[in-house]
Amino acid sequence: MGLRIPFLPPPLLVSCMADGVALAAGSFTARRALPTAAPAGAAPAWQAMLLALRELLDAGCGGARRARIVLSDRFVHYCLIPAAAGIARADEAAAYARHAFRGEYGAAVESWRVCVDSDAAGTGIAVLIEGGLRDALTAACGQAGLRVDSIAPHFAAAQAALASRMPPGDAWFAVHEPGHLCAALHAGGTWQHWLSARLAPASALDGAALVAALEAQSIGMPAARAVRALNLVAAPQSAAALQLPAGWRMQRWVDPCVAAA
Amino acid sequence: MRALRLDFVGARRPASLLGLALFAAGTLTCAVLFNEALDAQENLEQLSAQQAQADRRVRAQRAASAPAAPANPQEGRALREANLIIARLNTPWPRLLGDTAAAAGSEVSLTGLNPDTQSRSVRISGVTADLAAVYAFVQRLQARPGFEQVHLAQHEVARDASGAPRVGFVVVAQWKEAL
Repeated sequence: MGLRIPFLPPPLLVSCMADGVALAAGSFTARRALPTAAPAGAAPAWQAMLLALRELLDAGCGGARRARIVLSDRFVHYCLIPAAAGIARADEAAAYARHAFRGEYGAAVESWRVCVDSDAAGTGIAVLIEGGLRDALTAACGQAGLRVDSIAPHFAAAQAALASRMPPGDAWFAVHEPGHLCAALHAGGTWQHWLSARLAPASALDGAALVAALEAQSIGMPAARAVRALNLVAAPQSAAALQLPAGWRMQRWVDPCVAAA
Repeated sequence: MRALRLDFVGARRPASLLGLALFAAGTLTCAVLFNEALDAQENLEQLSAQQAQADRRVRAQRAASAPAAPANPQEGRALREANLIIARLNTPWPRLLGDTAAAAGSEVSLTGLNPDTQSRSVRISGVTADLAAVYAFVQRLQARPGFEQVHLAQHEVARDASGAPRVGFVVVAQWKEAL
Protein backbone atom coordinates (compact mmCIF):
# COMPACT_ATOMS: atom_id res chain seq x y z
CA MET A 1 0.00 0.00 0.00
CA GLY A 2 2.94 2.27 0.24
CA LEU A 3 6.62 2.70 0.92
CA ARG A 4 7.56 1.83 4.48
CA ILE A 5 10.59 3.74 5.74
CA PRO A 6 12.50 1.95 8.53
CA PHE A 7 12.75 3.60 11.97
CA LEU A 8 9.69 5.77 11.30
CA PRO A 9 6.43 5.07 13.15
CA PRO A 10 3.90 3.26 10.98
CA PRO A 11 1.03 5.33 9.62
CA LEU A 12 -2.21 5.27 11.52
CA LEU A 13 -4.94 3.37 9.70
CA VAL A 14 -8.16 5.28 10.32
CA SER A 15 -11.23 3.24 9.39
CA CYS A 16 -14.25 5.50 9.27
CA MET A 17 -17.10 3.05 8.88
CA ALA A 18 -20.82 3.57 9.20
CA ASP A 19 -21.06 1.55 12.42
CA GLY A 20 -17.87 2.74 14.10
CA VAL A 21 -14.45 4.29 13.88
CA ALA A 22 -11.28 2.29 14.40
CA LEU A 23 -7.62 3.28 14.69
CA ALA A 24 -4.68 0.92 14.17
CA ALA A 25 -0.93 1.55 14.15
CA GLY A 26 1.35 -1.38 14.87
CA SER A 27 0.15 -2.92 18.11
CA PHE A 28 -1.98 0.11 18.93
CA THR A 29 -5.70 -0.23 18.28
CA ALA A 30 -8.74 1.74 19.37
CA ARG A 31 -12.37 1.57 18.37
CA ARG A 32 -15.57 3.42 19.05
CA ALA A 33 -19.00 2.23 17.94
CA LEU A 34 -21.56 4.57 16.43
CA PRO A 35 -25.28 4.72 17.14
CA THR A 36 -27.34 2.99 14.50
CA ALA A 37 -30.04 5.68 14.52
CA ALA A 38 -30.03 8.14 11.64
CA PRO A 39 -28.86 11.68 12.54
CA ALA A 40 -31.62 14.09 13.39
CA GLY A 41 -32.63 17.01 11.19
CA ALA A 42 -30.47 18.07 8.26
CA ALA A 43 -27.15 16.93 9.80
CA PRO A 44 -25.06 14.94 7.34
CA ALA A 45 -24.86 11.17 7.83
CA TRP A 46 -21.15 11.35 8.63
CA GLN A 47 -21.50 13.86 11.49
CA ALA A 48 -21.62 11.15 14.22
CA MET A 49 -18.66 9.37 12.64
CA LEU A 50 -16.62 12.55 12.67
CA LEU A 51 -17.47 13.22 16.32
CA ALA A 52 -16.34 9.71 17.28
CA LEU A 53 -13.15 10.15 15.27
CA ARG A 54 -12.27 13.37 17.10
CA GLU A 55 -12.81 11.71 20.46
CA LEU A 56 -10.64 8.76 19.52
CA LEU A 57 -7.83 10.95 18.22
CA ASP A 58 -7.95 13.10 21.34
CA ALA A 59 -7.43 9.95 23.42
CA GLY A 60 -4.24 9.09 21.53
CA CYS A 61 -3.03 7.85 18.20
CA GLY A 62 -0.25 5.41 19.11
CA GLY A 63 2.63 7.79 18.38
CA ALA A 64 1.81 7.92 14.67
CA ARG A 65 2.62 11.03 12.65
CA ARG A 66 0.80 10.14 9.43
CA ALA A 67 -2.66 8.82 8.75
CA ARG A 68 -4.33 6.79 6.01
CA ILE A 69 -8.07 7.20 6.11
CA VAL A 70 -10.44 4.58 4.73
CA LEU A 71 -13.91 5.99 4.32
CA SER A 72 -17.04 3.86 4.45
CA ASP A 73 -18.79 3.36 1.14
CA ARG A 74 -21.87 4.70 2.93
CA PHE A 75 -20.35 8.17 2.86
CA VAL A 76 -19.31 8.19 -0.79
CA HIS A 77 -21.02 7.93 -4.17
CA TYR A 78 -19.65 5.84 -7.01
CA CYS A 79 -20.32 6.43 -10.66
CA LEU A 80 -19.29 4.12 -13.48
CA ILE A 81 -18.34 6.07 -16.59
CA PRO A 82 -18.69 3.78 -19.62
CA ALA A 83 -16.21 3.87 -22.44
CA ALA A 84 -19.12 4.60 -24.78
CA ALA A 85 -19.46 8.04 -23.18
CA GLY A 86 -16.27 9.04 -25.01
CA ILE A 87 -14.89 10.97 -22.08
CA ALA A 88 -11.14 11.54 -22.13
CA ARG A 89 -10.40 14.40 -19.74
CA ALA A 90 -10.64 14.35 -15.96
CA ASP A 91 -12.79 17.49 -15.79
CA GLU A 92 -15.24 15.97 -18.26
CA ALA A 93 -15.42 12.82 -16.14
CA ALA A 94 -16.06 14.91 -13.03
CA ALA A 95 -18.85 16.81 -14.80
CA TYR A 96 -20.34 13.51 -15.98
CA ALA A 97 -20.28 12.12 -12.44
CA ARG A 98 -21.85 15.24 -10.92
CA HIS A 99 -24.57 15.19 -13.53
CA ALA A 100 -25.39 11.59 -12.62
CA PHE A 101 -26.19 12.65 -9.04
CA ARG A 102 -27.59 16.11 -9.66
CA GLY A 103 -31.15 14.86 -10.10
CA GLU A 104 -31.11 13.21 -6.65
CA TYR A 105 -28.97 15.64 -4.62
CA GLY A 106 -29.50 18.92 -6.47
CA ALA A 107 -27.01 21.77 -6.60
CA ALA A 108 -25.12 20.40 -3.58
CA VAL A 109 -23.16 18.12 -5.91
CA GLU A 110 -21.30 21.16 -7.23
CA SER A 111 -19.35 21.33 -3.94
CA TRP A 112 -18.58 17.62 -3.87
CA ARG A 113 -15.04 16.42 -4.37
CA VAL A 114 -14.61 14.11 -7.33
CA CYS A 115 -11.84 11.61 -7.95
CA VAL A 116 -11.67 9.59 -11.18
CA ASP A 117 -9.74 6.46 -12.15
CA SER A 118 -9.74 5.59 -15.85
CA ASP A 119 -8.39 2.50 -17.54
CA ALA A 120 -6.91 2.06 -21.00
CA ALA A 121 -10.26 1.06 -22.47
CA GLY A 122 -11.73 4.43 -21.57
CA THR A 123 -13.93 3.16 -18.74
CA GLY A 124 -13.74 5.29 -15.64
CA ILE A 125 -14.82 5.00 -12.04
CA ALA A 126 -15.64 8.25 -10.32
CA VAL A 127 -16.08 8.60 -6.59
CA LEU A 128 -17.63 11.65 -4.99
CA ILE A 129 -17.71 12.85 -1.38
CA GLU A 130 -19.05 15.98 0.18
CA GLY A 131 -16.42 18.68 0.28
CA GLY A 132 -17.13 19.33 3.95
CA LEU A 133 -16.39 15.70 4.84
CA ARG A 134 -12.93 15.73 3.30
CA ASP A 135 -12.04 19.04 4.96
CA ALA A 136 -13.39 17.88 8.33
CA LEU A 137 -11.35 14.65 8.20
CA THR A 138 -8.18 16.55 7.36
CA ALA A 139 -8.80 19.09 10.10
CA ALA A 140 -9.50 16.41 12.73
CA CYS A 141 -6.27 14.61 11.92
CA GLY A 142 -4.33 17.88 11.78
CA GLN A 143 -5.50 18.80 15.29
CA ALA A 144 -4.12 15.45 16.49
CA GLY A 145 -0.74 16.16 14.87
CA LEU A 146 -1.33 13.75 12.00
CA ARG A 147 -0.53 14.43 8.37
CA VAL A 148 -3.09 12.80 6.10
CA ASP A 149 -1.43 10.71 3.41
CA SER A 150 -4.55 9.23 1.92
CA ILE A 151 -8.35 9.41 1.99
CA ALA A 152 -9.71 6.48 0.02
CA PRO A 153 -13.18 4.94 -0.11
CA HIS A 154 -13.52 1.46 1.32
CA PHE A 155 -14.18 -0.38 -1.94
CA ALA A 156 -11.25 1.26 -3.75
CA ALA A 157 -8.84 0.83 -0.82
CA ALA A 158 -9.68 -2.87 -0.45
CA GLN A 159 -9.45 -3.51 -4.19
CA ALA A 160 -6.08 -1.72 -4.41
CA ALA A 161 -4.72 -3.77 -1.51
CA LEU A 162 -5.89 -7.09 -2.95
CA ALA A 163 -5.61 -6.54 -6.71
CA SER A 164 -2.24 -8.24 -7.05
CA ARG A 165 -3.59 -11.38 -5.36
CA MET A 166 -6.83 -11.66 -7.30
CA PRO A 167 -7.14 -14.82 -9.42
CA PRO A 168 -7.25 -14.14 -13.17
CA GLY A 169 -10.55 -14.20 -14.99
CA ASP A 170 -13.83 -12.36 -14.92
CA ALA A 171 -15.42 -12.01 -11.50
CA TRP A 172 -17.49 -9.82 -9.26
CA PHE A 173 -15.58 -7.94 -6.60
CA ALA A 174 -17.66 -7.06 -3.57
CA VAL A 175 -16.95 -5.26 -0.31
CA HIS A 176 -19.39 -5.74 2.52
CA GLU A 177 -19.53 -3.65 5.64
CA PRO A 178 -22.33 -3.57 8.18
CA GLY A 179 -25.28 -1.93 6.50
CA HIS A 180 -23.74 -1.60 3.07
CA LEU A 181 -22.65 -3.65 0.09
CA CYS A 182 -20.61 -2.36 -2.82
CA ALA A 183 -19.91 -4.65 -5.78
CA ALA A 184 -18.63 -4.32 -9.33
CA LEU A 185 -18.20 -6.70 -12.22
CA HIS A 186 -14.71 -6.85 -13.62
CA ALA A 187 -14.87 -8.59 -17.00
CA GLY A 188 -12.80 -8.35 -20.15
CA GLY A 189 -10.18 -6.36 -18.31
CA THR A 190 -12.51 -3.50 -17.39
CA TRP A 191 -15.24 -2.57 -14.93
CA GLN A 192 -18.66 -3.15 -16.42
CA HIS A 193 -21.40 -2.99 -13.77
CA TRP A 194 -21.67 -1.33 -10.42
CA LEU A 195 -23.88 -2.09 -7.45
CA SER A 196 -24.11 -0.02 -4.30
CA ALA A 197 -26.82 -1.17 -1.89
CA ARG A 198 -27.78 -0.13 1.61
CA LEU A 199 -28.63 -3.07 3.86
CA ALA A 200 -30.19 -3.42 7.25
CA PRO A 201 -27.45 -2.45 9.78
CA ALA A 202 -27.38 -5.68 11.75
CA SER A 203 -28.31 -8.09 8.99
CA ALA A 204 -25.95 -10.85 7.96
CA LEU A 205 -25.27 -11.43 4.29
CA ASP A 206 -27.78 -13.63 2.57
CA GLY A 207 -26.31 -15.60 -0.34
CA ALA A 208 -29.48 -15.83 -2.40
CA ALA A 209 -30.27 -12.13 -2.01
CA LEU A 210 -26.70 -11.18 -2.85
CA VAL A 211 -26.66 -13.21 -6.06
CA ALA A 212 -30.06 -11.88 -7.03
CA ALA A 213 -28.79 -8.35 -6.64
CA LEU A 214 -25.71 -9.07 -8.72
CA GLU A 215 -27.65 -10.78 -11.48
CA ALA A 216 -30.11 -7.93 -11.54
CA GLN A 217 -27.27 -5.63 -12.55
CA SER A 218 -26.63 -7.66 -15.71
CA ILE A 219 -30.12 -8.28 -16.99
CA GLY A 220 -30.13 -8.35 -20.76
CA MET A 221 -26.38 -8.89 -20.97
CA PRO A 222 -25.73 -12.62 -21.37
CA ALA A 223 -21.96 -12.33 -21.23
CA ALA A 224 -22.11 -10.56 -17.87
CA ARG A 225 -24.70 -12.97 -16.51
CA ALA A 226 -22.37 -15.84 -17.35
CA VAL A 227 -19.87 -14.60 -14.76
CA ARG A 228 -20.54 -16.57 -11.61
CA ALA A 229 -17.39 -15.92 -9.60
CA LEU A 230 -17.31 -13.65 -6.60
CA ASN A 231 -14.41 -12.21 -4.59
CA LEU A 232 -15.95 -11.08 -1.34
CA VAL A 233 -14.26 -8.79 1.17
CA ALA A 234 -16.13 -8.89 4.46
CA ALA A 235 -15.75 -9.21 8.18
CA PRO A 236 -15.48 -12.93 9.09
CA GLN A 237 -18.49 -12.86 11.36
CA SER A 238 -20.81 -11.36 8.76
CA ALA A 239 -19.96 -13.83 5.98
CA ALA A 240 -19.21 -16.95 7.98
CA ALA A 241 -22.47 -18.66 7.13
CA LEU A 242 -22.81 -17.25 3.63
CA GLN A 243 -23.86 -19.83 1.08
CA LEU A 244 -24.21 -18.93 -2.59
CA PRO A 245 -26.65 -20.67 -4.93
CA ALA A 246 -25.45 -23.59 -7.01
CA GLY A 247 -23.20 -22.67 -9.90
CA TRP A 248 -21.56 -19.80 -8.07
CA ARG A 249 -18.10 -19.95 -6.59
CA MET A 250 -16.84 -17.53 -4.02
CA GLN A 251 -13.47 -16.60 -2.52
CA ARG A 252 -13.50 -14.76 0.79
CA TRP A 253 -10.88 -12.15 1.63
CA VAL A 254 -10.04 -10.63 4.96
CA ASP A 255 -10.79 -6.94 4.88
CA PRO A 256 -7.38 -5.19 4.77
CA CYS A 257 -8.87 -1.84 5.69
CA VAL A 258 -10.49 -2.57 9.04
CA ALA A 259 -7.66 -3.79 11.24
CA ALA A 260 -9.42 -3.20 14.53
CA ALA A 261 -12.92 -4.23 13.57
CA MET B 1 -6.71 -6.96 -12.12
CA ARG B 2 -5.37 -3.43 -12.06
CA ALA B 3 -5.43 -1.65 -8.72
CA LEU B 4 -7.80 1.29 -8.49
CA ARG B 5 -6.30 4.69 -7.69
CA LEU B 6 -9.08 6.60 -6.04
CA ASP B 7 -7.61 8.88 -3.38
CA PHE B 8 -8.75 12.33 -2.35
CA VAL B 9 -5.29 13.27 -1.12
CA GLY B 10 -3.05 11.55 -3.64
CA ALA B 11 -4.60 13.35 -6.59
CA ARG B 12 -2.52 16.51 -6.61
CA ARG B 13 -2.66 19.40 -9.01
CA PRO B 14 -0.12 19.24 -11.81
CA ALA B 15 2.73 21.71 -11.53
CA SER B 16 2.27 25.03 -13.31
CA LEU B 17 4.53 26.14 -16.14
CA LEU B 18 5.97 28.87 -13.91
CA GLY B 19 6.73 26.33 -11.22
CA LEU B 20 8.38 23.99 -13.68
CA ALA B 21 10.41 26.86 -15.14
CA LEU B 22 11.57 27.97 -11.68
CA PHE B 23 12.44 24.39 -10.78
CA ALA B 24 14.43 23.99 -13.99
CA ALA B 25 16.24 27.30 -13.41
CA GLY B 26 17.07 26.34 -9.86
CA THR B 27 18.32 22.94 -10.91
CA LEU B 28 20.47 24.48 -13.64
CA THR B 29 21.89 27.05 -11.23
CA CYS B 30 22.73 24.33 -8.73
CA ALA B 31 24.43 22.31 -11.44
CA VAL B 32 26.54 25.28 -12.59
CA LEU B 33 27.52 26.20 -9.04
CA PHE B 34 28.36 22.60 -8.25
CA ASN B 35 30.55 22.41 -11.33
CA GLU B 36 32.33 25.63 -10.36
CA ALA B 37 32.81 24.35 -6.85
CA LEU B 38 34.39 21.20 -8.24
CA ASP B 39 36.76 23.27 -10.42
CA ALA B 40 37.71 25.48 -7.48
CA GLN B 41 38.34 22.44 -5.34
CA GLU B 42 40.56 20.95 -8.04
CA ASN B 43 42.53 24.21 -8.38
CA LEU B 44 42.93 24.41 -4.64
CA GLU B 45 44.28 20.88 -4.50
CA GLN B 46 46.76 21.63 -7.30
CA LEU B 47 47.97 24.80 -5.57
CA SER B 48 48.30 22.98 -2.28
CA ALA B 49 50.35 20.26 -3.94
CA GLN B 50 52.59 22.85 -5.60
CA GLN B 51 53.07 24.71 -2.33
CA ALA B 52 53.91 21.50 -0.51
CA GLN B 53 56.45 20.62 -3.19
CA ALA B 54 58.02 24.10 -2.96
CA ASP B 55 58.20 23.84 0.82
CA ARG B 56 59.96 20.50 0.55
CA ARG B 57 62.44 21.96 -1.95
CA VAL B 58 63.21 24.97 0.29
CA ARG B 59 63.70 22.74 3.32
CA ALA B 60 66.02 20.51 1.35
CA GLN B 61 68.08 23.51 0.17
CA ARG B 62 68.31 24.90 3.69
CA ALA B 63 69.35 21.54 5.01
CA ALA B 64 72.05 21.27 2.34
CA SER B 65 73.49 24.77 2.96
CA ALA B 66 73.29 24.86 6.74
CA PRO B 67 76.09 23.31 8.80
CA ALA B 68 75.24 20.15 10.49
CA ALA B 69 73.79 20.90 13.85
CA PRO B 70 75.84 19.53 16.71
CA ALA B 71 74.35 16.66 18.51
CA ASN B 72 75.08 18.24 21.94
CA PRO B 73 76.81 21.35 23.42
CA GLN B 74 80.10 19.57 24.18
CA GLU B 75 80.34 18.33 20.66
CA GLY B 76 79.60 21.84 19.37
CA ARG B 77 82.37 23.34 21.48
CA ALA B 78 84.84 20.73 20.30
CA LEU B 79 83.80 21.40 16.74
CA ARG B 80 84.43 25.14 17.13
CA GLU B 81 87.87 24.47 18.63
CA ALA B 82 88.68 22.10 15.80
CA ASN B 83 87.71 24.80 13.31
CA LEU B 84 89.99 27.27 15.07
CA ILE B 85 92.86 24.83 14.94
CA ILE B 86 92.22 24.24 11.28
CA ALA B 87 92.18 27.99 10.70
CA ARG B 88 95.45 28.44 12.57
CA LEU B 89 96.97 25.62 10.62
CA ASN B 90 95.91 27.44 7.46
CA THR B 91 97.84 30.57 8.57
CA PRO B 92 100.86 31.16 6.29
CA TRP B 93 103.27 30.91 9.17
CA PRO B 94 106.53 30.57 7.22
CA ARG B 95 106.08 33.69 5.11
CA LEU B 96 104.56 35.58 8.05
CA LEU B 97 107.46 34.81 10.37
CA GLY B 98 110.06 35.33 7.66
CA ASP B 99 108.82 38.76 6.61
CA THR B 100 108.34 39.92 10.21
CA ALA B 101 111.78 38.77 11.24
CA ALA B 102 113.34 40.37 8.18
CA ALA B 103 111.63 43.69 8.97
CA ALA B 104 112.61 43.57 12.61
CA GLY B 105 116.29 43.34 11.96
CA SER B 106 118.62 43.74 14.95
CA GLU B 107 116.92 46.82 16.47
CA VAL B 108 113.62 45.19 17.34
CA SER B 109 113.08 42.35 19.69
CA LEU B 110 109.83 40.54 18.80
CA THR B 111 107.87 39.34 21.76
CA GLY B 112 104.64 38.15 20.20
CA LEU B 113 102.90 37.40 16.95
CA ASN B 114 99.13 36.73 17.01
CA PRO B 115 97.49 36.17 13.64
CA ASP B 116 93.71 36.31 13.03
CA THR B 117 92.88 34.22 10.01
CA GLN B 118 89.34 35.55 9.62
CA SER B 119 90.49 39.16 9.20
CA ARG B 120 93.91 38.22 7.83
CA SER B 121 95.45 40.52 10.40
CA VAL B 122 98.46 39.94 12.60
CA ARG B 123 99.18 41.64 15.87
CA ILE B 124 102.95 41.98 16.30
CA SER B 125 104.33 42.98 19.67
CA GLY B 126 107.94 43.81 20.46
CA VAL B 127 110.44 45.90 22.33
CA THR B 128 112.93 48.50 21.03
CA ALA B 129 115.38 50.96 22.47
CA ASP B 130 113.63 54.02 21.12
CA LEU B 131 110.55 55.11 19.26
CA ALA B 132 112.46 55.82 16.06
CA ALA B 133 113.30 52.15 15.77
CA VAL B 134 109.59 51.36 16.05
CA TYR B 135 108.82 53.74 13.19
CA ALA B 136 111.58 52.21 11.11
CA PHE B 137 110.14 48.76 11.80
CA VAL B 138 106.72 49.88 10.66
CA GLN B 139 108.17 51.32 7.45
CA ARG B 140 110.12 48.17 6.72
CA LEU B 141 107.11 46.01 7.36
CA GLN B 142 105.02 48.20 5.07
CA ALA B 143 107.58 47.72 2.38
CA ARG B 144 107.31 43.95 2.47
CA PRO B 145 105.23 42.62 -0.46
CA GLY B 146 103.21 40.33 1.78
CA PHE B 147 101.86 43.08 4.13
CA GLU B 148 99.55 46.05 3.79
CA GLN B 149 97.81 48.54 6.06
CA VAL B 150 100.62 48.40 8.62
CA HIS B 151 100.16 50.76 11.54
CA LEU B 152 101.39 51.26 15.07
CA ALA B 153 98.51 50.28 17.32
CA GLN B 154 100.06 51.22 20.61
CA HIS B 155 103.43 51.89 22.24
CA GLU B 156 104.72 52.46 25.72
CA VAL B 157 108.01 54.10 26.72
CA ALA B 158 109.61 52.80 29.88
CA ARG B 159 113.04 52.24 31.40
CA ASP B 160 114.64 48.99 32.32
CA ALA B 161 116.38 48.13 35.57
CA SER B 162 119.58 49.85 34.39
CA GLY B 163 117.69 53.05 33.60
CA ALA B 164 117.98 52.71 29.82
CA PRO B 165 114.88 53.68 27.76
CA ARG B 166 112.73 50.82 26.60
CA VAL B 167 109.75 51.10 24.16
CA GLY B 168 107.11 48.36 24.02
CA PHE B 169 104.84 48.46 21.02
CA VAL B 170 102.14 46.70 19.12
CA VAL B 171 101.94 46.88 15.35
CA VAL B 172 98.92 45.60 13.47
CA ALA B 173 99.21 44.60 9.82
CA GLN B 174 97.22 42.64 7.26
CA TRP B 175 98.75 40.02 5.07
CA LYS B 176 97.76 39.70 1.46
CA GLU B 177 95.77 36.78 0.02
CA ALA B 178 98.60 35.61 -2.14
CA LEU B 179 100.90 35.48 0.79
